[in-house]
Amino acid sequence: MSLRDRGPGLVFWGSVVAGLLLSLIAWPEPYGAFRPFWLGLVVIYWALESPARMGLGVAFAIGLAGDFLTGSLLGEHALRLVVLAFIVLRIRPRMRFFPMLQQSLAVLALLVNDRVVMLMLRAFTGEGLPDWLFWVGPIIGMLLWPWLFLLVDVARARARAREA
Amino acid sequence: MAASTGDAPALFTPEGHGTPRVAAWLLLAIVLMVVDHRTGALDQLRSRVAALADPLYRIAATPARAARVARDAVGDRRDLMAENERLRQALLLAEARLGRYAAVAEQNARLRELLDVRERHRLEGRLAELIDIDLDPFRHRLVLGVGRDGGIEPGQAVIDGRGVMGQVIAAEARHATMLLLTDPGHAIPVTVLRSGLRAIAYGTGATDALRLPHIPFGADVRVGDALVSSGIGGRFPPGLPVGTIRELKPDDTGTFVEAIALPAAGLARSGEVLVLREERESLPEAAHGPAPDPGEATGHDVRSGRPREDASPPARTAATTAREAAREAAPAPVAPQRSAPR
Repeated sequence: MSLRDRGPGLVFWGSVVAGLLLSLIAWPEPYGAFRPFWLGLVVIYWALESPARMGLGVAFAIGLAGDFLTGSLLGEHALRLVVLAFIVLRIRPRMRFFPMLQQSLAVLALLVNDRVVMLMLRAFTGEGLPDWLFWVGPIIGMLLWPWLFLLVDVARARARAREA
Repeated sequence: MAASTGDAPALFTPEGHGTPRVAAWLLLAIVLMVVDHRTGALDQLRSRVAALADPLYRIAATPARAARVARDAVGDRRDLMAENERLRQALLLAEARLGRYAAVAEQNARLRELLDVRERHRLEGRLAELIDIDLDPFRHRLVLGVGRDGGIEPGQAVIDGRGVMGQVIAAEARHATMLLLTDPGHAIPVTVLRSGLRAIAYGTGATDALRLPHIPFGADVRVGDALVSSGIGGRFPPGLPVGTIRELKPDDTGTFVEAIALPAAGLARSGEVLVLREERESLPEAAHGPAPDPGEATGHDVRSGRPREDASPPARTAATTAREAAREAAPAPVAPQRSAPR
């Protein structure tokens, strides 16, 4: 780990735990399906900002935790997060310097891609096609992205300042 | 773990996340999924780890609970009065019905004596609160706040005040997961209350629809008919309300009718539910004869993700199933044949 990354370790694990919790918290009923893929957002952030932390293996492990928590097939979240992390790590050099609007659109594309992966998994397990609300989650994720980005950035800056 | 990037200038080093590496992780995930989907090899591991999830579930449920408490606290007095009034009426109605049932039950007992039925099924219910979390908005699962410690076992039926909600699919020490009727992987054998017609109601993934495929044209079923569980297969006790037929239409092949039913239970995420345990109790007169076989002890094979567990009755011994079928056979579908229900 570089010096740069050591300080905000707490922020990293905090965000992962928060992501796991958020992916359980129910949204008020008519909007249940609007819930974004919180763990996906967490993985995108860290793959973008601190790839030394968010390798594919870490994404896989977080995904497994998600699988255990939500009772999905073991490996389902893991696969989705590995795909996300892989794409982000690949396009990271460009995506980092995108203006926020463009970055949000990239996040939307990533999350839509994740939904497509999910559809493929559902097809293999024989679950039917979900309704159109299935596609709302990524849009909410995109809208939330700038705020989450700022929030975690501020938290990291604080943690680093305290360390110094 | 991709530890190689380190602090090299990340602008130029996408390696360490190369294609072989990602392929390996993806392969591992796929192997895990296939093993988990096809076999029960990971069940032990899953349930051991799931036990650790309990505190997280409770924490995740707090916001929703707080919101509910807050709403109750500041709720409009008029709303509360209206709700009170409604509940009072519902109670009155329920009591009136109970009075009628008492008479029927007594009659039933007498008839059983006449038939010399050795045993009867006593339903034992256990109240369980739902933990207000949402595992996956596109899968129909709820988490109960009671687990094996409270006598909850996989395979038990779950009902609310209005009808069948689903069944328990996994039980940990302090929580349990249930599958709703409306999950695409769920199926429940039902009877049309009016005509005795049997069918299987599959979940559709929509909270307001069950699908009853393969009903013959000319079968006696109409829009508005009530469906109750038939008890075949042994997982659900017979006679519990399941839903109401909402729509009838020919299926894709045009050889059968497909019915769409509205579930009777309120499939909400919060509140309390009743987990049923069916117990056989021998009537005192029939102490002689072989003891009733404990067939239901074997039925715990349902787990998350397995589709259509309930459509086949593998859980019981053949003898039990046959007996249940016999017990069920009274309202045989001998209704007059009518023209195709359109």
